[in-house]
Amino acid sequence: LLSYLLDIFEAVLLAVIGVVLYKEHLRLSKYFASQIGGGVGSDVFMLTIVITVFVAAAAHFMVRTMVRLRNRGKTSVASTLDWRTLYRPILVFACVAAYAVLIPITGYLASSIFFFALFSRLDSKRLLSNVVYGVGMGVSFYLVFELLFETPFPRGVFFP
Amino acid sequence: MVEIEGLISGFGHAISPLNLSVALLGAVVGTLVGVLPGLGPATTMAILLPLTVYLPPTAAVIMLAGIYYGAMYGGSTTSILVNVPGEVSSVVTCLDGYQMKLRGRAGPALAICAVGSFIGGTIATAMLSLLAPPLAQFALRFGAPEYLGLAFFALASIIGLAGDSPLKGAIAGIIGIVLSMVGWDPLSSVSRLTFHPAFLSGLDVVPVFIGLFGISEVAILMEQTTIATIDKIGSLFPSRDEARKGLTSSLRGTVIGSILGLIPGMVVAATAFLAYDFEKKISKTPQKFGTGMIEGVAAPESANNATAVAGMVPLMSLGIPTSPALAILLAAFMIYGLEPGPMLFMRDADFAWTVIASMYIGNFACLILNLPLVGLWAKLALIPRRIMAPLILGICVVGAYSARNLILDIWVAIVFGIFGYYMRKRDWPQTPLVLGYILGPLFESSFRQTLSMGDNALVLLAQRPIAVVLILLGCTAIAFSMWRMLSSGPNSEPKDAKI
Repeated sequence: LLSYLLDIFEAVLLAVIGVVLYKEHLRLSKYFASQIGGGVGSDVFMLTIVITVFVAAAAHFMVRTMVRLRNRGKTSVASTLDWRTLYRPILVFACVAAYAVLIPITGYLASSIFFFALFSRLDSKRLLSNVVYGVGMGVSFYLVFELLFETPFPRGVFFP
Repeated sequence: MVEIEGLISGFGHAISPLNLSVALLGAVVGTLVGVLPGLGPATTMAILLPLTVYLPPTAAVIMLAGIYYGAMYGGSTTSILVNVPGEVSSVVTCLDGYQMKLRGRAGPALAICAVGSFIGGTIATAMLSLLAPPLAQFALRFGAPEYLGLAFFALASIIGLAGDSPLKGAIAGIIGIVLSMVGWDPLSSVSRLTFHPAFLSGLDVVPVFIGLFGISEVAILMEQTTIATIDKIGSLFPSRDEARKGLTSSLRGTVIGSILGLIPGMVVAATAFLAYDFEKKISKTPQKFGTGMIEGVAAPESANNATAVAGMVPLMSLGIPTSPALAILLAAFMIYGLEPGPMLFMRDADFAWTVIASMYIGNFACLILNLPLVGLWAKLALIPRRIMAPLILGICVVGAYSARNLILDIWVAIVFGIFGYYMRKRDWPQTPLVLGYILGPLFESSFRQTLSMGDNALVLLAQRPIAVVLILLGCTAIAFSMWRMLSSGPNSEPKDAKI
């Protein structure tokens, strides 16, 4: 059922994308009609894509529903997200998101140390080794990318 | 003759200290990437793409190309030693390679793999040298309708060959085209689908690819818990019979890989399987395949290398990438202001021939790296995840940021990382999405130009034989994939694959 619900979610998402594209097509149609008298503008190609997206959304919904009906009562062969292993990838995305939030606030060095220490915590619970690893990797990345390659990272509160 | 002169001149440039160093570096990084299960050439190229700005364009492309074909060499090492393919293209090598290892013949299997890969890579590079310039010359006749036909054919065949679910492939391709439409309209400079001023120039290719391949790869990597061990490899020398059988199989695999590699969407894994299947069919003892036959190792390994290099022919001569890794290489070309396609061998002939010449050198370097150092590569495959994963993520973040020095691009990479992870877990093929994204602008501009030339109708297409042939080929690819889907049932799903 979860797999089928995700199939429906995908079809709905496609339809939403189609609606957004259609609204953009209408805006562009008005613009091109006023500018070049209705010639071949960006809106024509977009309309083609809008139609394709709606057809694709309907086809995806129908095909997956057919599969669902055909396989009713059988063990599903379609792969899906496994909620038991999902927490680790979620932590990965959360770590990177925290890194992206921290870089402008604390600067590249401090945020890198925090990120690497936090990330190594996912696989090892030894706090000291996490901190050592975080400092080692963070300082190495800082030396390579900020000092050697001169990537202009935000300075942050520690290096105003 | 022009080809020979160009190649000689290319070798002259390729052996300059910088170009030679980056070719070797690319070969080393590529081999390492190939060895490491969970890290593919597309991922690595996406991560390293922004860091290549410190290199001149020719050196940067040489390095990225080296990573691309070098990965094909390394993929077999863990397939043979621990039954875990380093690359999806080496899945088939596990069948007989691991059996050879169990029989104490790991060394000869690894040696034949390296030699077979070298044969495949070098012959396909020779094909690239001979075929790309005339094909580019032929493509000079192409106008908007022909390019529309070409883009349609490329997308249709990619969708058709993307997996067992062509509908998902088609949808992924369409989403790729939609993503390519964000930003200024290429013909009239009107902004569209831009929800933030930073996206006026479109979604930058670097954070998109880093998210789709790099960050999602780490998320997948963090799910796995398998820890492998590697035994002693022993002598690398094959017996006379193994060498003879291995070399003839390599040549057959090379022919299969070189020809099929020209087709957009023909992934290296598919040609490796076809080469294996072909060997099995012509063998006098097909029942022994899967028990440690050297032919089952040599043919797929040479086929996957030949396919990877053959994909450079449509890329360099027509500007059409046939795989995600080549799409990233195309993005690198564009970042450096180079225009792959018919004009490449005219405007940037030195660049084109230097890259081709460096591929001969790089292939030889890969052979040297893979024979005596195979034990070292095997050990590197066992780098702990707690070191590898944050290292990759750290480079992903720097790469995404340094593309335009915007924190927003890190967020774009995270969003595409989640999207890429979802696609992998739900068996949505990523290849059509990436190629739709890369080919979208060509598709759109040629579509609109053809409409303009034909007074708002596509009738002009019917008057252009090349365009008609390409569109018919595209329709055939779609019809074939539909037939395949209907005959196998729409519920069949492609397996998880690393790109």
